[in-house]
Amino acid sequence: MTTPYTLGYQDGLNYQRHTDALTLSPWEQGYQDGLAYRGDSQWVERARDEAGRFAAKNATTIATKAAGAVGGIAGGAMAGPVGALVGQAAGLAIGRVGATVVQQAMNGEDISLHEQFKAMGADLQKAASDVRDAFQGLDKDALEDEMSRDLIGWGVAHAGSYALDMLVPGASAIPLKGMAVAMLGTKPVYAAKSLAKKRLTPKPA
Amino acid sequence: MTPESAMKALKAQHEAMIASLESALPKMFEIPVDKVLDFQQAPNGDMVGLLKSGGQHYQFTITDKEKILQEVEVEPTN
Repeated sequence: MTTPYTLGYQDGLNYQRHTDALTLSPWEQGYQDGLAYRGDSQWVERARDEAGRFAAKNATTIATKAAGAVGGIAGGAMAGPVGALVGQAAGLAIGRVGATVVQQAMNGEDISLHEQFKAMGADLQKAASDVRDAFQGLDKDALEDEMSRDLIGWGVAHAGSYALDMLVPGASAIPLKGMAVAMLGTKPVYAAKSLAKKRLTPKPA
Repeated sequence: MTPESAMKALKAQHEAMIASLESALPKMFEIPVDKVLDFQQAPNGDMVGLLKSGGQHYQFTITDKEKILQEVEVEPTN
């Protein structure tokens, strides 16, 4: 039997509440963990599986949890004190979300700050691009000849934020373009963490 | 630019953002901020982060329309 749902499915459409068809862009299709971006900061749950529903309900939580998990790479993989400090500073996962203390509309001063943070964020991403350019053509096994282990440790901790794949393979797949992390859930982060540990753990003599 | 100088520049800018957040968030959320531990930012400037205040961790969310502060319990990921 052909239903509007099955027709839509064949046409690459995802259905919301049985009636509203939602066309996903290739960008959105890339995120398979259960959320779809509709634009204007609106996210919808894609009825896929338990993981997808969890991601939809915990979007902002997962974003910070993913960030913490990436931060934890350094603490787990780097023996040095700075590595441990980075892990201590950022290697935290949110175990439970408690009360909402503040939930308010942004006032004029807040909006100015938001604009200021946005500009600073753009500068950060430019600086990250410079880092990636600087690593072009560099032998990855020569990383420790090029910079201190402490600095590598910091980079590993923030690899997801700045797509530093030379330090954590697959870091760019952790879309630390902020809230986009929410779409992914934690699985790719832990996969990256595992890879980073493998890479940074010295082989026994 | 060498990898080390580029990475140092990135780290300095990251720390400048942390400092700006630590300066701005107390007034924005009317809460003392001991430390901003981490943040994630979308290209449109929206931001989610983790801060510590008086022994309690909070998740903050800032968009162009809304600001949210939630108590959270944290655990180490290592």
